[in-house]
Amino acid sequence: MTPRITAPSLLTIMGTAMMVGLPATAFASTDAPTLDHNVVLSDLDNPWDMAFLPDGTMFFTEKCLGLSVLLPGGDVNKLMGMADTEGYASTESDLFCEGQAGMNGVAVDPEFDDNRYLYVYSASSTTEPGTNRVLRLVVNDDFSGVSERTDIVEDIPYKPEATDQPFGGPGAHNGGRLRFSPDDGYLYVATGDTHNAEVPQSPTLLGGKVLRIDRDGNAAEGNTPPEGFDARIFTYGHRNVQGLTFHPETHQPIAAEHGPWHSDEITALVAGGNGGWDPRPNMAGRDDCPDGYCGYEPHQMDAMEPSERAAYMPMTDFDTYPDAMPPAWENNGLSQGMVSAEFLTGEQWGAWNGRMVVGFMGIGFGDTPVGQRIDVIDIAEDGLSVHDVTEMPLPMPSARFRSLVQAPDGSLYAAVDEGEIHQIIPE
Amino acid sequence: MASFPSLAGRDADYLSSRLMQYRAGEQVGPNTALMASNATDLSDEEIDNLADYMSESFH
Repeated sequence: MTPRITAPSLLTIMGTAMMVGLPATAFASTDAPTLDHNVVLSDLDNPWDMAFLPDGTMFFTEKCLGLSVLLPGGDVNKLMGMADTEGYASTESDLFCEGQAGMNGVAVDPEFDDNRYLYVYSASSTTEPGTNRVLRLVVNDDFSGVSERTDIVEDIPYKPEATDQPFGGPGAHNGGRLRFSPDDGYLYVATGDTHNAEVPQSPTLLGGKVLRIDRDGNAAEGNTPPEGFDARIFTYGHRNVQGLTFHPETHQPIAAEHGPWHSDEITALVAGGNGGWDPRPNMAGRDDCPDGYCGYEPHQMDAMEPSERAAYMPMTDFDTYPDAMPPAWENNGLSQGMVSAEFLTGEQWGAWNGRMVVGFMGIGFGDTPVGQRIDVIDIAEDGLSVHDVTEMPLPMPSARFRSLVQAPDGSLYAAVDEGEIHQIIPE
Repeated sequence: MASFPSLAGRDADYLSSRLMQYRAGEQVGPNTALMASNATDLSDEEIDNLADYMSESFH
């Protein structure tokens, strides 16, 4: 299949133009696999996440449309649409999209063969203001529809109104990744701080957290948040987690998180841990901030040296929270939209077997290169450090890499905001 | 709405006027900070060239 040329964002064009002439800073490992690629699906509308069954059946979400499934034979069934959509087997009139919010993550129950359970993360207008919810669905026998919607989490914050921040529209910092641990079998739910300074360190508001729950939405055994915290909270003090994966051997949960004009972070998560993000004003040396949120300060609309901003508004504030979970990697101090994480496993990946891949959507602010790419990371088994970071030599043009998921056949699928799902095949 | 507006189908006049707004430091939308920092140093000719390229390349 020949890839279509799609419309990238203006920023991509400009960023690419501005990078011409710069020396290449990444190189391929000499024993890395050669990569080929197919376009699996095109003309999608902001595909956000994928989840596979062992036979290759692929569920996928589109942020403003809903949930569909690609069957092994190539047919696509549109299962559950959001408000004002057409062509779906069913629609849910409360599910909506706005800004970064909409239908986000999707996950298959580890016991899908028995219970047919599928989970999606979506914004819902059931309450006013809206919230993000985790929906449990039952997939019917012929994959033509879903039923028995059960909202197992109903109270993840959503940003309802625009504020005076970069990317300050409604729906900002919405989290949204869902993944089951291969170790404990619980569902992990990544959420965002919604540009609300109180959220990340709040004991009760579920934004800026990683939740760990069972298939009914109950708190997992072994969650150990501080006293007075909601028992569903696995870790807290996050900014906007959109990457969740588990080390293939140790099953260590690892998060990838967007940084604030600096410091995208990869962090090994431990029960009860604090990510150290606290954008409240009038603390840690800060004064008042625009609309009460210091997350991009100082001078939030103006470019400045990322390390200077990091000193004022750290992504992980060890001064205030000395026991915060330390990041394994901070993207060299830059924020470039690090959004998804997955491990490559199997001999087909050669030297990359066991390496973690992270996708970058690209953010070119100030002197920061846009950085749309996939990085291949040799991360320590305990997730506390990295041994090597290598940029993947892409077999197709770069794009906003929203989701990376390894398929049952051992290839890597990549959903891009431009509207495609690619298959990257090692040879 | 999407997080980032699409360029597909936009004509050169629209694109160049937006770039000029960003260059001038006007608040256009929620992502203005990102665009303004990139547009600050563009010349009129560069804006025209970018607008022409984008309007002809993406449909």
